[in-house]
Amino acid sequence: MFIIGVQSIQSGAGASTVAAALAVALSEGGVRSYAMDLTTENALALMYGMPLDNPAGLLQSDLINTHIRDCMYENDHGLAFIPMGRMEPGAAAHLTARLDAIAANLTTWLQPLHEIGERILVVDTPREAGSLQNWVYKNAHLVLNVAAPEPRLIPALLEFEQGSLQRQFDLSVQSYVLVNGIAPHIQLTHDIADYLKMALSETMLLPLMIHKDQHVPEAFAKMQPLAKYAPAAQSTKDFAALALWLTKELVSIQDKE
Amino acid sequence: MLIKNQWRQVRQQMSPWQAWVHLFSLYLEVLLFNVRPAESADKAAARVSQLRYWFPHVNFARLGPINLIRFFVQLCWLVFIKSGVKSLLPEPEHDAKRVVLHEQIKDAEKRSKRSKKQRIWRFLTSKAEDSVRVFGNVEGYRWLNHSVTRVLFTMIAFVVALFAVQLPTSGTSQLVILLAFWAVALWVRDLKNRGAALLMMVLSTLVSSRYMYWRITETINWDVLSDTILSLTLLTAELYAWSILILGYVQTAWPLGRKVVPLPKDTAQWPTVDVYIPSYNEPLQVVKPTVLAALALDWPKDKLNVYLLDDGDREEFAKFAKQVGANYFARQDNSHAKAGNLNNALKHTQGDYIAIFDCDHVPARSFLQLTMGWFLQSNDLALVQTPHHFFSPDPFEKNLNMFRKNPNEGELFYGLIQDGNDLWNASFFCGSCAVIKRGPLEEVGGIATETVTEDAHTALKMHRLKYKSAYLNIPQAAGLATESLSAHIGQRIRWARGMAQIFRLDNPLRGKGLSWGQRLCYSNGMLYFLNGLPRLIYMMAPLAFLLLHTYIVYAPAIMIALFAVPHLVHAYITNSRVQGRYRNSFWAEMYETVLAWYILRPTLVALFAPSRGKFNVTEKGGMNAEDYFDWEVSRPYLFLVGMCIAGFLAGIWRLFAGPTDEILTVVLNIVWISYNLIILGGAVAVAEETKQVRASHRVDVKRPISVVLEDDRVFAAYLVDYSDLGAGIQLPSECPLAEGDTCQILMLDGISQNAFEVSVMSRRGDHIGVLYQVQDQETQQSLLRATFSRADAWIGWRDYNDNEKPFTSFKEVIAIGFKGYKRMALQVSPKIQPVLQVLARMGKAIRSLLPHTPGKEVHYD
Repeated sequence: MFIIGVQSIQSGAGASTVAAALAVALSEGGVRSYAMDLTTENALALMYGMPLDNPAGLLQSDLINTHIRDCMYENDHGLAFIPMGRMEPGAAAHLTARLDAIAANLTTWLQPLHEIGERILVVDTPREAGSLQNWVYKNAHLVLNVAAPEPRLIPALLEFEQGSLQRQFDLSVQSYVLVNGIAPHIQLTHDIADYLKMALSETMLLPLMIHKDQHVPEAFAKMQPLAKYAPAAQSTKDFAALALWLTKELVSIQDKE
Repeated sequence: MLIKNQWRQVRQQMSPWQAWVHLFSLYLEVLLFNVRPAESADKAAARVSQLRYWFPHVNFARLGPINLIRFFVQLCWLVFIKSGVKSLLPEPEHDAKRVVLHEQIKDAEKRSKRSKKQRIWRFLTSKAEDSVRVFGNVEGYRWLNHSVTRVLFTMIAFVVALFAVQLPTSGTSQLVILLAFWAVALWVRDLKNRGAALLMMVLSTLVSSRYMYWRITETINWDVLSDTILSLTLLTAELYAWSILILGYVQTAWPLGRKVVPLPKDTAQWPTVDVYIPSYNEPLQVVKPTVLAALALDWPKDKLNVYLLDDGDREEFAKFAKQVGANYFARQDNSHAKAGNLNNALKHTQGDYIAIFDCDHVPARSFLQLTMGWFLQSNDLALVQTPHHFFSPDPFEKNLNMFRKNPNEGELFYGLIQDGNDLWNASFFCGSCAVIKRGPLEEVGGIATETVTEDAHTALKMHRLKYKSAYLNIPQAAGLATESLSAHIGQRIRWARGMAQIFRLDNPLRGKGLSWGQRLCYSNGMLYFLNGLPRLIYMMAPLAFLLLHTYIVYAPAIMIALFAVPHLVHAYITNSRVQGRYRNSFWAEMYETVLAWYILRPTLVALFAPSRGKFNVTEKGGMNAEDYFDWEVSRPYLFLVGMCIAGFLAGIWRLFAGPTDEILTVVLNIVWISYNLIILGGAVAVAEETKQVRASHRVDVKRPISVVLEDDRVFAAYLVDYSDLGAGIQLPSECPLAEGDTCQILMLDGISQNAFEVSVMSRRGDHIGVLYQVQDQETQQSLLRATFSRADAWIGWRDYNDNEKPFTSFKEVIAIGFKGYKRMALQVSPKIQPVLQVLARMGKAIRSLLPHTPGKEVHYD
């Protein structure tokens, strides 16, 4: 099984959206994939249509005694995902300890998935340093760092270079930057995308970008996967292209191994 | 019992006769092909084993007399003519059983006595095939490229050729020779290498030279003066055609197929380039995109200067140039037209290289990057020419409705001839879409002004100074084709006159500095335009016998057939093999016939008084409000048609009333004149101008783009066509855009996407038509780079079928010929429409009797 980490460079850059849409696009393209949420916001569950009042997920389960199938859900379209879930009220103080416990047991817990092979696990990765982020960097074959072309990106990029990116380098995971929300008709996004092209190395910045498309928040609001809500949307095609690029990339990673 | 039941069943629906035929055919099918529908898993094989596959046009359900005729004609054709039926079947997959069987057969063959001979035969065949195959491989023949061996081989070849040409000209020996040659030509025709093509050229040259030898030595009637004059006239025309044929082979023997040379990474080493855009009377709307695209060429901005050379001295042009950042030149007088205009700019500019574009040729952004590499590699290179590409239909394509279906008229020259010239270092300047080095150009005194085709003459002068030229066969600029037949003819008159002028004033066969290859290539380029008179002589020649009863070829008809037919057949199959991809067989006759009358006088005048004549500007970008028939242009053809019809009728009369020993001669002449009538019909068909309502031409594409709605929803869509004003877009059906809406479309400009505002003018189904709402210059240039001046905008336009089929082309030409007569008849009197319909139905019925390729979908009543 391949593990792909997806992480935002600045907050709100759209890692959850990309993770969910990418897993769906991969499945649609014939590579069965799962999405897993490791961020405490628990946004992925909503995108897969899980009601807001359902707190089930990794945080609700003890990874030692619960089997992976008890924590894996499937939406109406048969697309599988593992939500983060929410802590029971009043337990917020133990959050860090719980997250550490998850990180410690995650590899063993995912073993049944590993045995299937030829599958891809797309992981929505937290921005902040921590045991879960570390787990992703250690285990992922590749990390996509999502950047939204807006002014906040520029300071966030500095922080990213010294923080997350450094750790990715240290743990020698392949890392790429994906621009999410490019809008060629808006001059500012155009300019910031150009800036990114200059600031990042050619190999690091993905040549394909995700368009800024109102279909994306609409699909979220409808609690449907983007590809199902708006199959003709440009963003859907963009994710399909991303999935295609990723499968090619994974084949070359596999060949190296 | 079973048969009885079947008979009863069939009789319920059909008459006894029909029922009998129907059942007979069914039993025949079962007997012949052993049909077992339930068992045959392989669908294609099952299809082949049905009668319907082999007799596609026969309606077995209604076997009337017509269907029976079709059946028997097809049967005879399949049995006696159509061989190699196996190739119609899909190639069998490699399966174990078949391989085993194959091995067994091989073993059996080895064992049998008779197979020894066969094996030797097969060995020889494969050896011969291999040698032809290797023939095209240059690597193994490097030792040949030595002056001594070359001279030696040339001498040997010359002697052998003389021997072959002079072999006895009696009927039987000619028959033997022609069959041998023919067999070789047909055998190597499908081999895909240059060696095979060269071999075919050699054979064709030998056969045609033999024909000419025979014509000159044995067929001139010296006894009657009038006959002598007429036969010498025809002989002259034939000699002309023969030399054009041979020169053509020399020219196209080995198209160079030059590739792009990359530029150095460091742009500081790139030279400075001036772009000249000469204009005289074209509207600003036509010139605008060219200037904007030239300014947007991918080249360092400090090394690129664009000059708008306005010979019309127009205020708005000056204003436009200033506004967009181009330089503007106007002249006091317009002496020497375009050449003078360019020379004036040459005096006032300093760039190392000069790129020249006609004012309607929009360059692709990559033009300079693809062409300039050759200059940096070779110091004595003076010229790089690229093809002239047209995104609008020329009058032939428009009026015959064949745009982007068949290769167009210019294709032969830009696809093959210039590439062939390049081998001999003889590709020449064509006035636009080219880069010239300043030094050599100034050395020859700038653009030549002595003739009206200044471009070719300039190149000739530079070649005389030992400079080199290159031809890069990649369309890197595109423009508008001439709109009407009369404008097209006007342009060709200028070319013809100019080439004849050069031939007189600066004959490439004489003078210093040229290699023999260059001399021959230039001569062919110029002599080609003298085809007016020979073409007319060919048109009229059969009349000499049919109307005047003159023997202009003084030989028995059987001998004429024995010599002329192989000469023609070899020329046609060789040309089909060499240039079929660029011009379908028989189309050249039509193109040349249309021009023949009009270039006759200017070329003759230019030959005798070369300094007369003026420069006329080719009109472009016009509109026809409705269909009309250009009687003015087609008048000479109508005269020729009248003469030919008279000749045809006289021939029919002679067939019945004339002496029996003349019948074959009459038939030959009737066939000849019928062919001429068909070609003339084609020439007439082009004269009906189809209406042209759109001012700007739409270019058909299929390219993914995005559409951004006002509420920021983005849809994936397809761009299906574009023009300089708007575009056609195929939307997903969910997209709610409607007439009157505005939106943005996102298109690739190089590697990044740009947005262009458009307003929706119409929506039909999922297809919308939009108009660009682009104001500022930067966006306009970006839009051009995303459409007309994309580096790959014109790539793939010329992927026509590699294997041209002469018979199919002939059928097309015949159809066009008939169309011409139909159009003409309708112009004369629209009332005869019903008569024409009856004739068309008769024609269709006759065609339906002819054999059809098995497996083809056809429907006849």
